[in-house]
Amino acid sequence: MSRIGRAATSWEGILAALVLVALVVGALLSPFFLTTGNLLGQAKSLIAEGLLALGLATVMLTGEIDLSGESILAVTAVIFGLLWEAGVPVWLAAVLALAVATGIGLVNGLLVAVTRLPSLVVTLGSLVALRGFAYVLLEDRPVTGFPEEFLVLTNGTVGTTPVPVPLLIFTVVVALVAILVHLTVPGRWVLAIGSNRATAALSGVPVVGTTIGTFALSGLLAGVAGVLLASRFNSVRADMASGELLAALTIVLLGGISIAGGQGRIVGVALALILVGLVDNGMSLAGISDEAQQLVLGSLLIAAVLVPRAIARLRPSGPAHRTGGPRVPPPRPHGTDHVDVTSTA
Amino acid sequence: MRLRRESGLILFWLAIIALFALASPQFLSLDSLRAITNASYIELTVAGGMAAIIISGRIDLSVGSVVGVAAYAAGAALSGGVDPIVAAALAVVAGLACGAINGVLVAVLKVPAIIATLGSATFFRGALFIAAPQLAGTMISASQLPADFRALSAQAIFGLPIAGVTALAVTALVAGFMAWNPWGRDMYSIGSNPDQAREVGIRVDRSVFASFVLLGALAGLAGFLYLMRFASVDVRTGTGLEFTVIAAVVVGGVAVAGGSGTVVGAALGVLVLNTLSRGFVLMSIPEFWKVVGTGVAIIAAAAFDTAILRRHDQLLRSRRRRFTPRSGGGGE
Repeated sequence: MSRIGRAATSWEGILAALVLVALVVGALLSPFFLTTGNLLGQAKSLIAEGLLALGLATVMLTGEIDLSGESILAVTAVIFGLLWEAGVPVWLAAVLALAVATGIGLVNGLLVAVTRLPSLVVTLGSLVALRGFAYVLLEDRPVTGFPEEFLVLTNGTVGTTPVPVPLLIFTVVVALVAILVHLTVPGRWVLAIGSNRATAALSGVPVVGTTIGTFALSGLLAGVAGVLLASRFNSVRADMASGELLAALTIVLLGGISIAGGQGRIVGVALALILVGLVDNGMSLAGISDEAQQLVLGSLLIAAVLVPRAIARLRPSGPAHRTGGPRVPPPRPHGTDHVDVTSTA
Repeated sequence: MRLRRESGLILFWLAIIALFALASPQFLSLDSLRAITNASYIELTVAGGMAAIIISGRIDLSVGSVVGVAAYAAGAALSGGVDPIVAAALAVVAGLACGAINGVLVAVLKVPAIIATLGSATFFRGALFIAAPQLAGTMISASQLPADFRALSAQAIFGLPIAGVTALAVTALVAGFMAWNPWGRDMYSIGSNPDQAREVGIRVDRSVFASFVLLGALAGLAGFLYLMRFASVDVRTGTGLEFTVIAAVVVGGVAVAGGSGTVVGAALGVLVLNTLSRGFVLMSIPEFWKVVGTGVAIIAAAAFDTAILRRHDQLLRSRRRRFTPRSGGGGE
């Protein structure tokens, strides 16, 4: 159980290796692949998916799920566009839109944590309802023509370096979420709830508040993604980010976040995002159509669940890392639900 | 309990009919009724299968894609001069094959249903997008379909269109299976408590696999009905249908956590949603509000169910306390 050996065979280690493989294969496929321009340009186009994935990951670590990210993104972007159109200063409009996004996340969280409705159903409902609401607000027209200082947000570079501003923003967000989840007390609460909700509650973890917090964070991040997309395309539409749920869920599961909650690392999500981005980019350069790319993404989503499970089965002595559980559930005699509070230090 | 839930739904249905009738006198006409039922047949055909899957505690997000694939397969075959009966069989087989893929993913490979079917939905749709240009083009229009097929949708059996007869027959069949057949009863047990279902000897994986194959076949049939109704199909056909069907099923009283609900309730859910939708049209409320309504209906129905469930639990617990001195099991 050497430390280095464990790091190399950990899920994040495997992901890092796959990223390298994708880089090599991409470079072999196209001479344009391994250029700073291409890679940085590609990074820019991944930011919406990445932010949605980060929010979803935080929610999934508590053992819940948030399917509504892409619709929150669209509603936020639409509200931002309408506010700006109505004469609100662009930055104020952005802040107001983010407040709305956080509010929507709060409502999702309240419905899940307080009324104990299944999060799958609540967020499936808001996925549909909010997309419809975006259309109600804006119908089929776009809002466009945002001011230059707003467009710099995604189309500018940091100082004289070729690093795009959105990449910087995204890196900061990843770091903040990683710190929040892995290094702070609320982060430990998130993981504790995901491991065992009842134990967490008995141990004094504010389960309701923490759960609501993760949904609010997910809403906020979706909102940020919406504003950044508005800047990137210099327009907002009601159908923005339609179908991004698939990409976000794929990235999160590929990143090693367990669907059962409690297991996984944010760095894995970031690596999975890079991997999916490289694969997408490689396919585009190889002239593969968007539809075929969707098909690959759908397959990748299922593979993200199957492959780690297969690895875990091949390696029975290793930690049952992020697998959805063994094939046959272990016998669970009645009474084992009793929790020894003193042992959970 | 079960009866009460459905009678409540019927009351709710009558109430919205009365409301719409007051708001717009046109609403209470034979045309209006026909518009509602005609709009319901495709959803009714898959609602029973979806209800079975949700009752077992799973979900299928690929229905829209499967309907699209099946409708396209039938359309391509018909435009190539195949007999309508053969085309219908082809649609069912195509749906069945898609359902079998879902079944393998969920029941054999143990991929959580939501992930498996979200993935397979894009897979089926992507495959259709890629294959269509090589087959009969991205869109098959009415002029490419034979005249005898187009005449089919106008034909009636006992005053009902073929689609209506199909939808009713399918609903009755699935309702019967869920109520009286061992497989149907197993679906309830699996949804209530999968571990205990296994312990008492229910072949969980086999039953779950069968439910996905059934829904696949029904979605195939629905694809054929779609082609019959609209006499055209394109690569986007059926997009979003899964959400309206899931909404209808949960509105119909099928608990999303699994274990309870009926096919008849799900069918009523379809009628209620389409009645609302028709009312919206007559009151000239924009189409987009219907989408908002679908989403809100999903959440509201789930909230209603949870409230009932909690009340039920409290009743059970108070009874149990009276009979057994020891309180068993942990809880959330």
